[in-house]
Amino acid sequence: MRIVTVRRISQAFFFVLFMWFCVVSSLGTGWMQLRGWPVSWFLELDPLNALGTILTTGTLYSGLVWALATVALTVLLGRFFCGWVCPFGAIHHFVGFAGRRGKGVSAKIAGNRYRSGQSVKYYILFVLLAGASGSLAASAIRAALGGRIGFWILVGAAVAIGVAAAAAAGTAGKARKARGVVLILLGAWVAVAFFFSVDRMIAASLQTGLLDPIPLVYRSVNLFLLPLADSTAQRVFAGQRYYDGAWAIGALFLAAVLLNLIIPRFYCRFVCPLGALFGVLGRYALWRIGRRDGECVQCLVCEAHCEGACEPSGSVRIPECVLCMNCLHDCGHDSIAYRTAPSEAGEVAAPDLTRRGVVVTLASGVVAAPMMRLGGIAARNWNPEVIRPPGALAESEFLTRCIKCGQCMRVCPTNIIHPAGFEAGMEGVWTPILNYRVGTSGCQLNCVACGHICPTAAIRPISLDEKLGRNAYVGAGRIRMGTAFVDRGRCLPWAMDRPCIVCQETCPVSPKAIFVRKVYSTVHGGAFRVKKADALTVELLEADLQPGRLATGDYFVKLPGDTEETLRRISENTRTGVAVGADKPFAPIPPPGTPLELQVRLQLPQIDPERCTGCGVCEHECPVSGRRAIRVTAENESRERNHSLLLRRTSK
Amino acid sequence: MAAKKTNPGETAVGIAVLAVLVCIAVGMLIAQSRFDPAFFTAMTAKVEPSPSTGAADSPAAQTVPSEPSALLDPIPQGMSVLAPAETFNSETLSEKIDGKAELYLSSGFVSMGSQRFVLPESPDSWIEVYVYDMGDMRNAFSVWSAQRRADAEKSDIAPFSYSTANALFFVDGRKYVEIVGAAEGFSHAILALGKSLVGRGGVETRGVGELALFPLEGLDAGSVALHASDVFGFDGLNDTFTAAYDVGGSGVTAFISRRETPDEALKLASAYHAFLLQNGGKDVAWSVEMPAGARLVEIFGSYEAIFCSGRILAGVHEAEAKEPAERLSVVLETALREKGK
Amino acid sequence: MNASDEKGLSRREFFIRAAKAGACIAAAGYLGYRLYDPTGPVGSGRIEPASVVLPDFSIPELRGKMAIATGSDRIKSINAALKPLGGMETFIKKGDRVLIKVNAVIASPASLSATTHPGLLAEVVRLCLQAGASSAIVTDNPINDPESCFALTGIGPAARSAGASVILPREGLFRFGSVPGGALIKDWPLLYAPFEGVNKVIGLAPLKDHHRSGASMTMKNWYGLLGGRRNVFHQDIHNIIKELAMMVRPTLVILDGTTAMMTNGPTGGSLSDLKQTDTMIVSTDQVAADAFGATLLGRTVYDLPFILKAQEAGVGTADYESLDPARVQAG
Repeated sequence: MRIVTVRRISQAFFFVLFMWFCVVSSLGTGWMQLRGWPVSWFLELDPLNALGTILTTGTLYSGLVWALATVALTVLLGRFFCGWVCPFGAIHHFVGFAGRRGKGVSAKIAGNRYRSGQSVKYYILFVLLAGASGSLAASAIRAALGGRIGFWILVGAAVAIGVAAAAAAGTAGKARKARGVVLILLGAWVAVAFFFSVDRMIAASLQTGLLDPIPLVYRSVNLFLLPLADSTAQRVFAGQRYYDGAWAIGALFLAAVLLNLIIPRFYCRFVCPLGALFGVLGRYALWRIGRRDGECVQCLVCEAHCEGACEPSGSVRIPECVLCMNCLHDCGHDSIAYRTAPSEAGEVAAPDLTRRGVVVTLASGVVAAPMMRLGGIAARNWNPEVIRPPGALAESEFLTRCIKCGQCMRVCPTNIIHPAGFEAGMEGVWTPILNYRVGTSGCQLNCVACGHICPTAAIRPISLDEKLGRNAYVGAGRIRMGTAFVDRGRCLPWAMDRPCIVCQETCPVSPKAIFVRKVYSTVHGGAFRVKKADALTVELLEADLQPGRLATGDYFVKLPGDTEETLRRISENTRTGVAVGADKPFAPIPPPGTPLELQVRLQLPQIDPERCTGCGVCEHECPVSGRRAIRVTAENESRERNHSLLLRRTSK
Repeated sequence: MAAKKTNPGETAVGIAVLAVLVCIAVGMLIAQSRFDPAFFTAMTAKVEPSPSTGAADSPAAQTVPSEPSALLDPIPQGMSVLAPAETFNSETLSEKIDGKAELYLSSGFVSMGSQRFVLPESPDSWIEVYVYDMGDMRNAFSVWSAQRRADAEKSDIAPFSYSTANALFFVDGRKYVEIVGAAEGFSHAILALGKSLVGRGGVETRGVGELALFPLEGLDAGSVALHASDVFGFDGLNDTFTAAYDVGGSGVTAFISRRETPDEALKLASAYHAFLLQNGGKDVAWSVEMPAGARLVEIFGSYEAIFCSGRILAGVHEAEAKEPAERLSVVLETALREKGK
Repeated sequence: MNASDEKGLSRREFFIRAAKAGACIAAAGYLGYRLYDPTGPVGSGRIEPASVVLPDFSIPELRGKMAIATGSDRIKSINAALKPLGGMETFIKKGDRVLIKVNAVIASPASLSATTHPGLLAEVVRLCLQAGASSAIVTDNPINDPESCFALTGIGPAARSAGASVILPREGLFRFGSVPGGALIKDWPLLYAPFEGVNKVIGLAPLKDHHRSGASMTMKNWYGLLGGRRNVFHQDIHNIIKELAMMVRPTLVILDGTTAMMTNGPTGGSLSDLKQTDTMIVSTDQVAADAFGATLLGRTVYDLPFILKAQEAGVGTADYESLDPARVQAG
C-alpha cells in the first residue's frame, strides 16, 4: 500500500467527515441532524484556537483539549495536519492538482519552488498571537506595578533600557540595529505603560479566526456554500437559509481557492497562520522528509508535485513540508525517505524570518488591539444594533473568545444569527449578531443551541433554566438580549388607526412583555348624521363607505352620550349605512339628524421592560415589513451592566 | 512514475493510519448516538404563545404559565411528545378536569402538569400523563386512595400504586401521578412512562405512618385510603385513614385518625359521637370488654364504634351487625394499645 | 559514509531530539492540564472588582449637634454658627486631611445660587486649615463638563486661592461601591479616589428647590459622588437620597440658606427664583439639617419623603428641635 494512497484516503476521509459535520449541524434528532455528532471537532483539534484562547483568557476550555493531541503529533511527526487532515488544505490540494494537470514537468517544478513570500504566514501568526496576548502583558505589568518593589524594578528597567538603547544606537551593522530597535520599542512601551492607566493601553483581541483555516472553512461552507447548494434541493435546511454579508465570506473563500490555479496550495504556503504554527512546533520533529545518501541525480522530479514548496531536492525546509509524500513517491532513485535521520542534503529547521520582521509584527499586534478599541465601540459609543445571542459574554470578554467559526449561525434553528460587518467594530467582523428581520422567527424561547455548540464559550452553554429564569435562577431572572421599542410613528394602531396587535399576540413570554391600552378613536371622516334608523341598522347622510370595510369587528357606532361600555359593534356595513350586532339594538332608535361617530377600537401596544427579553419575535412578526414598527435594540441586555434600562433592585 | 515495490515499513504505517481512521469513524458513530433527547425536545417543541384575550389582560390569565417544558426528562425510548406540557394552578385546574378539581383543591392541591405522548406505531392514540403536585405525600396519598377504581390491580412501580386496563395511578413523594391511555393495550408504554417519573416526587414532609397501625388480619390491603376532610359526612373529622376488613365474612370498615394530643382525640370522639346521636343514632352497650369511654352506636341498621388510644381516634364504620363491629373494635384497640407502648 | 557511523550519530542525535520533542509535548500537556476549564465562564464573563464602602467620618461624641445662624453675610454667619459648637477646631484637628464636597452641579454663576457659594467655600477651607488641617480637597462630579463647572461657578478659583486642591472627576477615580443595607447603590461607580487618605468630610450644600425630589439640601448633595448612568436613579428619587445619606457619614454638614432657590430647582436660572432667607445651618445630623432647611423653603417633612425615610433608616432625626440647636444672630 503506497503511502500517498493512504494520504489521499486520509484527506478524503477527513474532508467527507468535515462536510458531513456541516450538513448535520441542524438542530434535531433525525439521522441527518445534530444528534450527538461532535460537529466542532475540527475546531477543537485546531491548536491555534486553543493557543489564542489561552493567551486571551488564561484558560483552556473544555473540548479544546483535543488540540493537545494535534500538538503532540505535530511535535513528533511535523505538519501532518496540513497534508493529511485539514479539509481546507484538501480543497487547495485538489484545486491545485486540477489546475496544473496538463502542464509540463518543468512548469510544475517552477510552480513549486520556494518563494520568500512563504515567510509571510509566520508574520501573520505573530501579529495574531501578539494581538491576543495584550492582557497577559497587562497582567504582568499590573503585577509589577502592584508592589512597591515592582514599581522600582520597572523604573530601573525603563532607565536601563533607555541607556542600553542609547548605547546601541549609532553602531553599524544590521544585528546591532535590530537589537537597538527592540530595546527602544520595549523601553518606550514600559515607560508608556506605567504613566498611563494600564487597562486603556493594553487590550487583548482574538482575531485568529479571520485567517485560521479551520474556522474559515467552517464559516465558508456553512454560511456560503451550503445555503447556495441547498437552495434548490432543500434537503439540509427547512427553508432557504440566508446570511447577511455572506458574500464577503464567500469572496475570501473563493479567492483563496482560485489562487491555487496560479500557485498550488497558495493559502497553505503564504497565508495560513495554523500552518505557520505547525511549522514552528515541528522544529524538533522526530521523523522528517529528507534525502537518503546515494543516487540523487538532481532531476528535480521530486519537486514536481511537492505540495509544501519545501525544496526536497536540496536543503529541505522542514517547516514548509506538509508530509504529502509525493516526493517520496515520485523519486525514481529511491532517494527520499521519511525517517529519523536528518536529510543528507541538509535541512532548514527554522522558518526564514528577520528579526526586524518579528519585532515589527509583534509590536503591531500588541498595539492593534487598543487601537481598535479607541473607536469607542466598546464603551460609550457602543452600537445598540449589536444584539448578541443569549448566553454571550460581556462584549470585551466575548471578543477575546469568539473565533468567528459561524457554528452558532449554522445551528440557530430560526436563522437569525448572522455574521456582523463592522457593526461591532473592526474586532467584531464576522462575530454573531442577531437580525430579527431575516430568518423564520425570533429567538426561540426554549432554545439554547448556540451556546452548546460554541467551541470556545464566547457564548456560554447556558441551561434552559438560566435562560428562562426558572428554579435556581429565579432571582437572576430571564436572560435578556435587548429590549423591544415600539416605533409609534410607524405602528399601525398608533399612527394609522389600523387595528393590529400581532406583536402582543406573538410575544412568547408569559406573562407577556407587551401589553395593550385600549382606545376608541373616531375614524377619519367618520362623523355622520343619522338619515334613518331602526333597531339594528342606521342609514347615514352623505355617506360613501366601502361596503364591508367596517365589518371586521373592530368598528363601533358612537351615539351622543355613549360611553366605551355602551358602544355598539358594527356587524355589517353598506355604502351608506351600518348594521349593529343583535345583542345591542338601538334603544331608543336615534331620530334622523342625530350626530353619530364611527369609531375604531385600537389596542396600542406598549412594552414592559421588566419582562421583555429582546427575543425579537415581535419584530419578526410586525407587518410593517421594511423598517419594523417594533424593533429590538440592545438596551437592558443582561450581559452588560452599563446598558441597563431599569433601576436594578436587589433584595439584600 | 515507475512502479515501485513499497517497502514493508511503508505498508505498515499505511495500515496503522487506516486503522486510526477506522477508529475515528467508529468513535463518531458512537458519539452521534449519545445525546440527550430532552435537550432537543425542549428546543424543537413549537412554542404556542398564550392566546391574547380580547379584553384587557386579566391577572388570572397572566399567571398561567404556558411555556412548554419537558414534563418528562428524558422521555422513554420510542415515544414522542404529542403536544407541549401544560401547567394548571388552583384557578385553572377545573379547565382541565372539570368537576373533579374539587377533590384536589380540598386536599392541598398546588399545581398540575400534563402532557400527551404518542407511540409511533399507533399515531392515532395517545397516552396522557398527569402529575399533580399535592404539597406533601399525605395529600398525594389521600387523593390516590380516594379515587381507587373497582378493577384496580396492585402495581409494584411504587409503594402506593395500582393499575387498571388502560391506566396507572401512583403516589410518588408529594406527587400524585395518573397515566391514562386513550385505549387499552398500552401497558408497556404506560409502565415505561411511570418508571421514568418515579423518584421525582420531591421530599416527603408528612408520611403515611398510620398505615402501619392497622392490624393485618382480615385487612384488604389495597383498600386503605386517606380522607382529607368531611370524613363520614362529619365536618369536624378530617385526616382519617380507613381500611376495609373481612370479619367472619362480613365487610367492616375500620378508621384511624391521629390527632395532635390525646385531649384533642377525646374531644373529637365526643363530638363525633354527638354528631351520630344527633343524626338518629342510639347508644348501644358493649358485649365485649372495651376501655372506658369507648362508644358503640347503632344508626339506621349499621353499627359505628368510636374509641381513643392515646392521641389516636379510632373506630369502626358501617358494620352490618353488632358482632363484627365489636370484634374488629377489639382487634383494633388491642393493636393500637400494643403499638402505642 | 559508514552505515554504522551514520546510525550511531543518528542515535545520539535522535535521543537528544526525542528528548526535546518530549519536553515540548510535556510542556504543552502541563500547560493544558493547568489551564483546563471544563465549565467555561459564568454570568457575563466579566469579573468585577470588589465593592468599596465609604468609611464613617463622623465624630461619635459630636452626634446630634446643630447650630442655626441668621444673617446676610455668609462669612459672618458661618463663623457665628460654628461658635456655639466650639468652632471648627472641635471638628478639625491638627494633621487632618479634609474633603469638602461642594455642589458644582452645573456651570452656573454664583449669583444664581444653584451651586455652593465660592466665598463660603473659601472661608470653610480657611477655617479648616487654620484649625490645623494638613490639606483640604474640594471635589464634585457635576452634570456638565467638570472643568467649566468648577471654573464658571467660581468654586475652583476660590478653593485654590484659599489653599485647597481641587480634584476633577475622571474615569480612573471611580470605583464600584455599595451601601451596606442599600438596595439601589450596589456595585455602582462612586467617586472614591479623592477619599483615599482623608479622615474628615464636610458637606457644603446650597438650599434649593428640586423639581423631582422637592428639595436639594445636604443629603441630596452626595448625589454628586455617583458615577455611571446615575440618572437612572431618578426613577426612585426618594430612596436614592435615603441611600446616599446612608452611604456618607460626614463629620459636618453645612446648609447654606443665605440665598435659597425657592422655585425651578435644581438649576434655577433666574434671580426671581431666589429669596433671601439669610440662614446658615451647621449640623452633624444631615437629616435634622434638611428638616430645618425644608421650613425655609416653606415645606414640611411630609412634602419631602426622603427625610422621613432617612430617619427610619437610622441616619438621623427629622425632629431638629430635639437636638436643641443653638440659635444665634450673625449681625
